[in-house]
Amino acid sequence: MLNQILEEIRKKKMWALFTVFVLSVSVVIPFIIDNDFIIAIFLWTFVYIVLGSAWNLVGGYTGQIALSHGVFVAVGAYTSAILWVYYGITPWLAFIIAPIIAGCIGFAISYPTLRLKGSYFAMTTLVFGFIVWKILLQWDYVRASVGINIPWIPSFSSMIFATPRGYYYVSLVLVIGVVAIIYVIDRSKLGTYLKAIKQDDVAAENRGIDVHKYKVYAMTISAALSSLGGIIWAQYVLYVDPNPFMESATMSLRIALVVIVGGLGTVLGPILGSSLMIPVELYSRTYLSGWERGGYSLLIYGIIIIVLAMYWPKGLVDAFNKIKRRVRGETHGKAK
Amino acid sequence: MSSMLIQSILSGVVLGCIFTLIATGLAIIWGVVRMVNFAHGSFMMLSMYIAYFMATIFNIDPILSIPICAGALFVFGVAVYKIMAKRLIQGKFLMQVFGTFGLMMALDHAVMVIWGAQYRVLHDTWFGGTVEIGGYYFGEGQLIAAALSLVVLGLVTLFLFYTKMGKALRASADDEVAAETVGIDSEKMYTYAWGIGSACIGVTGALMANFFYIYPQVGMVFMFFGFVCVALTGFGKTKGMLIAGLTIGIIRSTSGFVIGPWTKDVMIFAVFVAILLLMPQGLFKGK
Repeated sequence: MLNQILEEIRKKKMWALFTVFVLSVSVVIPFIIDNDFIIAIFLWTFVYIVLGSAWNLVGGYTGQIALSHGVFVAVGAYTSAILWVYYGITPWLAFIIAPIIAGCIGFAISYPTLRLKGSYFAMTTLVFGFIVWKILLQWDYVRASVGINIPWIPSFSSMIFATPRGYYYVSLVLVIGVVAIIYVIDRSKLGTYLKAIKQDDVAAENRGIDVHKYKVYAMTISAALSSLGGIIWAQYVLYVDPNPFMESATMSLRIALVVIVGGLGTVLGPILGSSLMIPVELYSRTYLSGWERGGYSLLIYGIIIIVLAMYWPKGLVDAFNKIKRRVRGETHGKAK
Repeated sequence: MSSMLIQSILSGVVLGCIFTLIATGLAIIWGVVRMVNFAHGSFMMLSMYIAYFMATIFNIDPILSIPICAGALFVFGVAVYKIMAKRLIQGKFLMQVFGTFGLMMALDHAVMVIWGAQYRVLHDTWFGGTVEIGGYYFGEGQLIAAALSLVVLGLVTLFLFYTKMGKALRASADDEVAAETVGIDSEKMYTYAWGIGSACIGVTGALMANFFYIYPQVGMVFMFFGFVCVALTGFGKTKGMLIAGLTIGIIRSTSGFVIGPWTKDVMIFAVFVAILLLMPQGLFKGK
């Protein structure tokens, strides 16, 4: 077992070194930079790496377009807010409870709807998010459209920190955990099945893969992982209402977008995509905030999506691989 | 109590006619081009804004701007096909969904950036009051919208079944390869399908501007109703669309009345999922 891992590392020495380098830089960044805004940008980027990686499992690997992930993020956010504000239970517990709830919801919604193909699944999940949004806006237990305010009491047990640095480390740990999970799935039998389903689900079915079962697995795991991002969201923003998660499917779209930009169905895709898109969005939003009318960033998002879908559907990872091949001088082998 | 129920059923019938027209536009594009237009609701929103500005700037009543809206949306639909959809259909299905979904986001937020997110309502239109028929009350705007929807539906049906062009469109939707072998140009059919489908939603937009709030995200929920109707009839078909539309309209208005206002959309979602699971071919057999 250990030998295998060592062998793996030896084979991919450059990658391992690079990963260690990026990780150690990530750890020391809060000590070097003392601009809270930049730390917050890192924090949001991390949150979207988590969400993007989770979505990638169902949208990228399995090729099923789920547009309901805002719901699962909301489950995380509401779980941690309700635990802490209503019952005084530490939000850390939400890291266990929220994935279970979100996983159950993901299972419940995907079990019937994943029998549908393509657009029908996309449409159903889109509408599911819309319906949940409508329900939450009316549901008094979660304080409907008023939203839940989380009182600012910094302490470790409340998972509220005085500076973004605390959140930075929590989300960094989360990123490492989630990306590791996706990496393992990518190389496991499950990952192979999912990719096979994306390639050709009829052929996969003929080879004896229970297509529906594995699609549901992917969606359930994806939903559970998505909720983790919501917990950090709630404890950082300190205010939870339905709009940021589900209003006109904005969040679900943003999650999908970072993956498309980075590269669908790759471990690296969501990381590259988030690292590019989230800082761009936050900067542009900050500098355009003087403008009285909102919607600029989403207009730009829509246009980027159209252009990517038309001209560059394979994302940054593909471009990266092409450059790598060129650097190595490999001419054989066709573009992936 | 029972008269309230009848009132809500009748309102549902009125709504249903409007949903049917939305769904027909969607189904024409879906059937011929085999592509889902996720921006369909945004097309309706655009048409509503056109009608709104026609009314406020040039003092043209929304009813009179129906041809203007239909024409504008026809051109817009063709343009979207030529510029965007044509390229998307050559690519992967995943990217078709993302492409039109991106178009929806871009349109909604472009309107928001240009004209703001506030709700607008048209006042002093020709059909702005309420009317009493046999003890039941209807908005004049809704009634005229339902009536004209039916007229337009009739025209679309006549077009599809009794003109050469319409027959060619249906042939292309039935079997594209066979249609091409008898000399029907798919490319041309795709263009017309996008144009006609968009013109249908353009008419709906002008009719809706009479009585509904106009704001950038208005399209989404109506697009959803359109999808449910399409699912009910079977994807890409137009036969039986009116029955589907009326069913959805009645379910929506009566469940809001019987169970509670917040269940309106939830019920329809439940119906939608149930239909897709139990009857993926739709309620009506055949094309």
